[in-house]
Amino acid sequence: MKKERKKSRALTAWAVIVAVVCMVPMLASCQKPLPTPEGKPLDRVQLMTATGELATVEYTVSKIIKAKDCTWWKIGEKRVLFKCNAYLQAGVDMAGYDDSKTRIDSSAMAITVTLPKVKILSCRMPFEEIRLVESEATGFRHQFSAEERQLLLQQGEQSILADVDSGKYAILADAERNTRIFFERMLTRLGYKSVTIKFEK
Amino acid sequence: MFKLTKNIASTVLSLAIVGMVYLFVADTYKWWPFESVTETVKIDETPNVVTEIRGIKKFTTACYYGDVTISKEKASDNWLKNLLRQRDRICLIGRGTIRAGYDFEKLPADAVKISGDTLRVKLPPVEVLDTICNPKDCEVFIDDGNWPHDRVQSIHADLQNVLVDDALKCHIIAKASKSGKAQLQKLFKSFGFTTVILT
Repeated sequence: MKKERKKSRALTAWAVIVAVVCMVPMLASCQKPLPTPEGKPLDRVQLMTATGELATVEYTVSKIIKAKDCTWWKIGEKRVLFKCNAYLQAGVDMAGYDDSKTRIDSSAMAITVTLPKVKILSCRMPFEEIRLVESEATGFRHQFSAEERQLLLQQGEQSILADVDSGKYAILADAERNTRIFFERMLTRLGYKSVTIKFEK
Repeated sequence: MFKLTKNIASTVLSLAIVGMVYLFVADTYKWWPFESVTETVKIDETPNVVTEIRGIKKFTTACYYGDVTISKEKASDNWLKNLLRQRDRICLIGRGTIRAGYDFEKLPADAVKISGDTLRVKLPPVEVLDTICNPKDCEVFIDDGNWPHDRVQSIHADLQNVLVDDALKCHIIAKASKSGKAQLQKLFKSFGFTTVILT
């Protein structure tokens, strides 16, 4: 009788151990949330607009994106290293050009043109130029997944945009200079002897 | 005493077997409790270096904004998943901008002709100037299995090609030409020309 009780207790204990071990992966899978897109994933959403952006300077910015995931309680670590390029273009948006501010002196063949303020027109970080230099995982770790790599690249892009916003680069000054040269040459070609280019403030 | 040792040994052995099975299944389906996406890994601070500055003359006159989803499947490199006839899947949602217009670098030397108040300008052909689909514009919606970077890169290239095709189907070139000519007419007329002929 005692033996049978012992046996049933041992069986129960085993059942509990097996159940707990089997539950771990299930709980782990529950922990990983399903990724939700910002909007409903549609096959096509389209919009076309007319613009008038004259880009006069392009900066190529190179960045190393590196990340390491090695918290003490995780068994092993994973690292990744990317090298990428971003292209920043700046110039004037001619949609804001006010022709009433243009002054022409026909007798002296002189012209004064007031252009809109220069601004950053685009930032392009081509995926084909993102090079995975190194990726490794040790211990019980997996390499960074496609989704995780994407999140890291987004942080890299954000870092470049933050530098642009903080005015770290002289891109706007260069754009203003190049735009001025562009219009001066064009108006000289059109026959003007004196050309003055101003920018709105 | 012998019985106790036997019990301990069988317990350890059973736990080891269960543990190995768990490790195998967890490795196949990425069920590691600590491999959670909820905790985003932060990138290290590295400088952003300007490597080139160049003058350009690109006049963008039409922009196309589009969303595209692209899904791919491949045979898994894990034999258990293959045995269960499960395939690796990935789904990307990309938001892109296609910019079209004139590249004035391609303006021929004899492009401008003036006769009195009439200006004739031979414009370069309208073209797709830039395709912008940055990491921030792209979301990995489904990421099941092992998708190496070069494979994702080729899917991304497909996504960009779809975006360009869509823009062309929406007649971005015609729109850019019409919009560009209207703006250049306005600009040259403000420079004192009464008749502006753009070809």
